[in-house]
Amino acid sequence: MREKSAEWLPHLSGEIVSEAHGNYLDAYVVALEGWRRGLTLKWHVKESGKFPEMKTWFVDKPGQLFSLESDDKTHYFFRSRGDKVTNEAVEIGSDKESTKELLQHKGIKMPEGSIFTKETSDEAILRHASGMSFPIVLKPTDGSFGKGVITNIKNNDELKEALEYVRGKLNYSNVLLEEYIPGKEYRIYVVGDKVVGAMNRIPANVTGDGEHTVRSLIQRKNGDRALNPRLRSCPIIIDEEVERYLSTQDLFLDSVLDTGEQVFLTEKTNISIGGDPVDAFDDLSDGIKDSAVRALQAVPGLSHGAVDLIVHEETSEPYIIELNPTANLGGLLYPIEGQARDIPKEIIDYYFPETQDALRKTSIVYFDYREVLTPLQDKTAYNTKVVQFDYDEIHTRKFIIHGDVKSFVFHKWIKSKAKASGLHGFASLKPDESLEIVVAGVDQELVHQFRDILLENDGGFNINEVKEENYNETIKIGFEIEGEYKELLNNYKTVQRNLESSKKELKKLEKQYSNMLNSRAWKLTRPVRTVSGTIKKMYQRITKNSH
Amino acid sequence: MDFKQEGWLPHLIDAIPIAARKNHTSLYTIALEGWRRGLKVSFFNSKHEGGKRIGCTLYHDGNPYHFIGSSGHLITDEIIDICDDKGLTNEYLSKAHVPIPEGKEFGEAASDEEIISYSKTIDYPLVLKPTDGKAGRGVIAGIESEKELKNALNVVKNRLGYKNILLQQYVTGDEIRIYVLDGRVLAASNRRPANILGDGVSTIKNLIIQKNELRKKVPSLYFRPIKLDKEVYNNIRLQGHTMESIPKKGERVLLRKISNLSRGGESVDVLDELTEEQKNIAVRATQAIPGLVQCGVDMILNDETGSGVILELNTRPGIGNHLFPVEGTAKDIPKEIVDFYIPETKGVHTEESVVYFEFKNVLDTLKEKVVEEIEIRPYPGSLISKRMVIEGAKDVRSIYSKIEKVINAHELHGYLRVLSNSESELVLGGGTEAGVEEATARLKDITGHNGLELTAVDKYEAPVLAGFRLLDKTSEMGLADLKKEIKGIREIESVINREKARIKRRIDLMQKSHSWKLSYPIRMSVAKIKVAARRMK
Repeated sequence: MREKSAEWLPHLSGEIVSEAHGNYLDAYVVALEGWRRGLTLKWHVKESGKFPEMKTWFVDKPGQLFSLESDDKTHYFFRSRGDKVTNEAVEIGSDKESTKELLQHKGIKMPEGSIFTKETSDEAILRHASGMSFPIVLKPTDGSFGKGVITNIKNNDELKEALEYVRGKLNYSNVLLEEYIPGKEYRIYVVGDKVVGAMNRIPANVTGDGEHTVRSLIQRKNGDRALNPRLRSCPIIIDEEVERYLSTQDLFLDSVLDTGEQVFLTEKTNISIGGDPVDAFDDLSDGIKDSAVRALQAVPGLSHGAVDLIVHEETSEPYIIELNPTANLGGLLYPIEGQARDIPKEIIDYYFPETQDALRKTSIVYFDYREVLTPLQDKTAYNTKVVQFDYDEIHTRKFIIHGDVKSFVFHKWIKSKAKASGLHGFASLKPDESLEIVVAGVDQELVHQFRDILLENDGGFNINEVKEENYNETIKIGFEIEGEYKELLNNYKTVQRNLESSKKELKKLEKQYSNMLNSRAWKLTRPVRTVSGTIKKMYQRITKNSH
Repeated sequence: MDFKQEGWLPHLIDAIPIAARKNHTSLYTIALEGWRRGLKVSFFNSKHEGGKRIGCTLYHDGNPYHFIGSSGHLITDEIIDICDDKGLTNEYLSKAHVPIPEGKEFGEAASDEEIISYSKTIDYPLVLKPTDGKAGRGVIAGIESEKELKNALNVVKNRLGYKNILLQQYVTGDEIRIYVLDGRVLAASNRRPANILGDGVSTIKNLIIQKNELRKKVPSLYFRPIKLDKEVYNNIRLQGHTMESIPKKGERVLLRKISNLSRGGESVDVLDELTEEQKNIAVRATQAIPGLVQCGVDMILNDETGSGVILELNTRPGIGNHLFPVEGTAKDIPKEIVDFYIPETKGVHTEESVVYFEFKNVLDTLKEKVVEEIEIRPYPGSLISKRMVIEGAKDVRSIYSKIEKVINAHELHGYLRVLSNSESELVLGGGTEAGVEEATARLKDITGHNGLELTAVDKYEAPVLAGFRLLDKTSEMGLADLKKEIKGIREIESVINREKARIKRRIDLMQKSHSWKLSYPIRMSVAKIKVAARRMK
């Protein structure tokens, strides 16, 4: 397999973003950057704050709308896009025609093309195409994820087939016919007048090792993709299209590839259908970068966003494909190859330049994404404010305890002690039956004193040993007992079972007792008991008096 | 029936979420009142008292009004410091000629001899209290002699380690809680110890079980059942009863002497029984402390003179006892409090409102200290609600996101509750009947396409939770709920176990008794005859 190296940002490790999937990832990374700088972070529902006026979509579920607030200003964000991008800019970005108009005005090229609505027949489109120079590209105007995009159409027959497939079978009636630009396609992220990241999207592919079939190489690659925060929900799907594409290369799913042989599975570059994001920042010439910035700036109010362009393989001229004001950042942050670019940092610098220099050592700190959204989930809350984290430094320490460490009461005690000292961290039961406790706080003394608290052991627990270690990994704020909920749930089931069996036993005893009381023998002997009782009482009285 | 809800405020019946019942009834009802007036409401982690308390803020015209417990921002830390110190409180009260039990405060330096020599100047019985004790902690009452006083001093000063103490004459009489706001007495409640009321049919044991079920209907008593312990058994026995006795109709059997709500006590409204003088004393007590605009005044009534003495001033009194008395009428204190703090909103009536908001996620999330403030979604206005049933073999949870979409599109409120594998309950509330009808029609389609049948059942008159949620047993329980639930089950189990042990002892005694042993041959032969008879059949 070809050596690939990727360098991700340590402060946005896979663990930190583990709860934020898909579009939520963009929101989380930008919000986290602002929060770590000490800005006030609030998560909103779509009716809250400035959001009713902002252009947003698919936001019934919380987690994509947030605001960041400093002493003198508040900015609102939808995913990676902040309120410095105007609604007009968003509208223009989603409309090819008006984008083209603005770009042409600035002398920036877009591939030539025409839009056809469902009123236009296939025949009319074919007639129109005869006036264009092949090869051409056919795209649905309202498609997404590259679905229905047919590239490199070389002649009228191929176009006819493509039209039948896209308009007929896939039912996309509105289509775009575009000049095909041969060359590399880039996604470039621009903030203000600066290119801050660029990637090249490579169609889904596998590289052989002389041993494995294409099918098992795909499976292995999907395994790798599952570990990538951006790609985990975008596996390569083996379908007819893949098989067809392989067959054009005289390959099958069961073919074994030579070592180092890279085979593409599709022509489409979309990450969502298996494409690879590869960092390409250093590939770009200043000219291309400049074009990207000018393209973005051509749209009034589009202060940051992604520019998709193709660099013509012969002329090296850039052709803008699309402007995306609400771009996914995942590919730039988690490339399969090359270096991650810290886009969230650049975005926050742009909105809150005064926080730019705040070099903080708190980049290992993050917050539980699910937890902060919980009250918004059932529509009880309008917005939640994440605990403010305005500190320059955080101290951490790990303690390993041996002894009787499995009890729920003990874990509760640890949590309450950590909370009382204002410490963050977690407790986690290890397979060797020791308990690992990590605490973190801004006050170094309090962090170290936690050892004394454990040793003091005012809960009277059975602790044998407390070992101390350094800890340099991530810290989630709050204090979590790993597996606490599960433990409680089991606990709940046990006590419920106990209650049921106690109830049954009580019934049985009551029955036995009442049977005894009602038994004829007991009733028969009642006079005897009464007499003997009287005698006993008299006897007691006599003995009492005699003392 | 023993309990009466007739006197309760209709807009607060079944409108207190379980999560708010344990310690947050006062805060929640005030927030609810503000919310129903259309104010912006948010909850926050307070920095007071070690960051353990949760507060709420009502916003009007951009101005924030903070509340912690039942008290607003006008109850400042200085006022709280005065009232937390019983000695200091008494100084203020006696300066203002408000009657208090005769007594004196002693600092750390005071010797036992000094205290004892002072005790000779006042009449026994006495009560010894730490000046900064909370909720009766460290209080020794009913000291009858110098010897007992010495003992008490030893306990409070040496064993419990309190430094500043207060020695007072022990005044007997009903101790009642009076709620005073802005110089007006709004409510007064007395506490009755745990008790049951005979119906002429049920045993005491069953009456206690029934009573505990009734207590669950009282939000402030929801988590406070009567626990069966030795004290309860003893009290029953002392009154000539057993667990199996059947008290006469109307006979009230007291199960304890102390009346704390946490020990099974209950609140009774007694506002109409107060004399003008008693009310006057309560008001003057609050006025003696500068700025104490709202307060729970503890007073011991003197029935003979119609007067009373002040025991304590509570700066963050719970108001649940006044909102949900088991006898008498509820007083709408949340309304009065919001009227007082934000008089501009006085005209907004909330008595008809049947919407409330969930508190569980708010509370759980704040407690985890990851979120510090949560703004509640605004009050949706009055709702028209319907209840329906969805039946069929398919799991309704699998189409929940489709249902949710319809709910979102029509801006409806309510819940979908999974009752069993084949049945769910759906409650929908909306601003207009047409909106609810339209959504119902769409949901009928969706469920129909999925092999489920939706039937509209009836109008839903009970309060509706704002927002929308899927409810099933475990999804309803967060971490804190689970903990509470487990604790609750353990308590019930311990009651049952105690009962088990008691019956077992009885059985043992019977089996050991001479007559039982004596009758063994008879029973055996009877049993044998029975078996033989059965065989012959």
